[in-house]
Amino acid sequence: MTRGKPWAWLVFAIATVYFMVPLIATIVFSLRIRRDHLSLDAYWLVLSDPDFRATFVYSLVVSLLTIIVGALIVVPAAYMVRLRLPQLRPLVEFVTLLPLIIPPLILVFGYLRMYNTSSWLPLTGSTLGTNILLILAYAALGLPYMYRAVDTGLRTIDVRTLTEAATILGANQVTIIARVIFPNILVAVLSGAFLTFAIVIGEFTIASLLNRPVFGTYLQRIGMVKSYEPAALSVIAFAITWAAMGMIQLLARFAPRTAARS
Amino acid sequence: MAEEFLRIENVVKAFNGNTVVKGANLTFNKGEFVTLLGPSGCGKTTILRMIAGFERPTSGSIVIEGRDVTNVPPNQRKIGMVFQAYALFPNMNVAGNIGFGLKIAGMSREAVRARVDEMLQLIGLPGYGSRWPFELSGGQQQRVALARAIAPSPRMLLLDEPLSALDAKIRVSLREEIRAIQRELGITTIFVTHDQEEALSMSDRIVVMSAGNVEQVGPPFEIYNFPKTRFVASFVGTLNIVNGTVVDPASGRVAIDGQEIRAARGVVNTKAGDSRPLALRPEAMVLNKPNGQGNHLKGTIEEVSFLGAVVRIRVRFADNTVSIDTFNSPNAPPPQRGDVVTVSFAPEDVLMLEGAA
Repeated sequence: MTRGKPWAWLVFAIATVYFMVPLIATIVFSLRIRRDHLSLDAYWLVLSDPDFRATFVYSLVVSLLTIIVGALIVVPAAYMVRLRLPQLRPLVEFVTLLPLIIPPLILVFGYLRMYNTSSWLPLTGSTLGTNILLILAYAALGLPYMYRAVDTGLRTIDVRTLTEAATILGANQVTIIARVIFPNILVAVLSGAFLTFAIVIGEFTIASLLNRPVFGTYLQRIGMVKSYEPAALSVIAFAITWAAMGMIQLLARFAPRTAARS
Repeated sequence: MAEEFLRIENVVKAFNGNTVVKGANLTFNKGEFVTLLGPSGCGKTTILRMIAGFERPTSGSIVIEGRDVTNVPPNQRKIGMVFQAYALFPNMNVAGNIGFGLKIAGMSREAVRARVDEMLQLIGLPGYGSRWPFELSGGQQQRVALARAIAPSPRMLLLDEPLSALDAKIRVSLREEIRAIQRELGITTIFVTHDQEEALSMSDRIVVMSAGNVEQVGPPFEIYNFPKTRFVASFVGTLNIVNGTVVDPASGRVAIDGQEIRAARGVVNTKAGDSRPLALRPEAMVLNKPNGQGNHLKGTIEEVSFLGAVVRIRVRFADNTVSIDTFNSPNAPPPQRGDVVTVSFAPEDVLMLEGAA
C-alpha cells in the first residue's frame, strides 16, 4: 500500500459524506409523508399530478428538439472547422464557451430585448414563437457541452481522409456528413445529447422568464406550497440526471471500439 | 502509338509562398501504370492530389481525355483513389464500403450486391462482405480499399503510397496483386511511392521527382541503368557517384583521382578539363581481375560489410570511394581492410551524369 492511499480514502470518504448526506436526507424526507412509517405516497402524488405530467412531457419534448437543433448546428460547424477552417478553432471554442460565462438571466434578458413584440423578429408574440425561442436558448446553453463532445468525437476519426475517400467516390458534402461523419461520431453526439438533456430538464431561469410550462418551473411552484412532494421531485430529477450520466458512461465504452475501427 | 489519357501542363503548386511543384509537364497514356517516385516533400503526392481534385494548381492545367478538369470538383472526376491510411469507413462493413460509390451513383440494390461480390472475388476476399474493417488485417483492409476504389469503374486509379503502412512481406505480395488487377482491368494508374523497389517492379514508366521538379521520366530499365542526373542516380538503386575530370572527350578518357579510365557514352558534350559526376553500379565492378579488358583502378579496402548473400566492399582511391557488391562464397573469404586492390569495370558501365561535379 502506498503512503498516500489512506489520505486518498479519507478525502474520498469526506466527499462522499458531503455529497451523499443531503441526498440521503432528501430521499428519507420524501418517504416520510406518513408519520408512522415510510411510504412512496409523495411520489404517487407527484406522478399522478396532471401538471407534473404536462410539464415533464413538455420539458422532454423541448429537450429532444434542443438536442436535434444543437446537433444540426454543431456537427456541421465542428466538422467544417476541423476540415477547412482550423484557424477559426480558437474563436469557435471561445464562442461556444460564452454560455458558460454569461448567466442565463442575462442571456434571457438579451433574448427578450432582441425578440420582443416590438422587435424586427417578434418571437415572443406567439406561443410557437416563444417555444422556438426557448429551444434556441437551450441550444445555446447546451453549446459548450455539445461542441466539446462532437469535437472530441471528430478527433477520434481521420476526418480529412474519410472525407476525401467519400468525395472521390462521388459523394457531396451533405452525404458525407450524413453517411460517413455523423455515424462515426454518433457516440460522441449522444454524449453531448445526454448532457444537454440533463441541463434542459431542470432549467428554470430562461423558461420562467419566457413563461413556459417546463418541469423546472413546476418544481419551483410545488416547492413553495408543499413539503414532501418537492423532495420526491428532487429525487426524480436526480434519478433522471444520473440516468443521463450513466448513459454517457455506457456509450463511452463503445467509443474506443469505434476509434479502433478507423 | 499509345493513346494519351492524362496531360499535366506547366502545373505549379505553392502553399503560402512555398512552391512544392515547379512547373510539371507530364503525359500519361491509356492503360499505363506510372509511378511518381521521390523522397518526402518532392511534390509527388501534391501532383496526385491535384489530379484527384483535392488541390487546385496555382497555375497550369490538368487535362483528362481531352477535357480540362482543373476546376472540376473531385466528386465529378470519376477517378478512384486508394489512400495510405486505408480510409475505410469504420461505420460500414466491407460490403458497405465497396458498395458506397455504387450507391452514390444510384445503382440498384441488386446491382450493387452483384458488383460487390465481383469485387470481393477480384481481391481474393470472397465471403468477407459482412466483416467490419477493424476485423481485417492491414493488407486485407488495403485490398478492400482497392476494391472500393475500382468498384464504380473509374476511368483512372490513383494510389497514394498504399503499401507503406504494411509489413515487408505483405507489401511484396500486394504489389504483385495490384499490378495483376491493374493489368486485368486495363485501367490507367498513377502510383505514388518513395520506395524505388516498388517503383521498379510495378511500373510501365517511372517519374522521378526531387524538390518539386521532374528529374527524369522513363521505363524502369532506363531509369535504373541510365540515370540522367546525380539525384536519379543516387535515389534509384545504390549507385556510386565519383567526381571525374574529362581528359579527352574524343576518346572518352576521364580521370578519377589521377587514374585514367574510359567512358563509353556521355562524354560528347564535354571538353577537356570539365569536372563531371560519374555513376558506377556496385554490381558492375569486380575486384582483383586486372588482366581483363576495360577500366582498372587501384585502391585500398576501407570497409567490408557482410550482408549475407552479398558482401559490400568499400574501396578508397584518393578523394573518391566506391562500394562494390560481390556474392558471398564460403570458398573465397572477402579481402581485409587495408588491402590494396584493383577495381575493374567496363567503359559501358561508366555513366556520365548531367551537371558539374
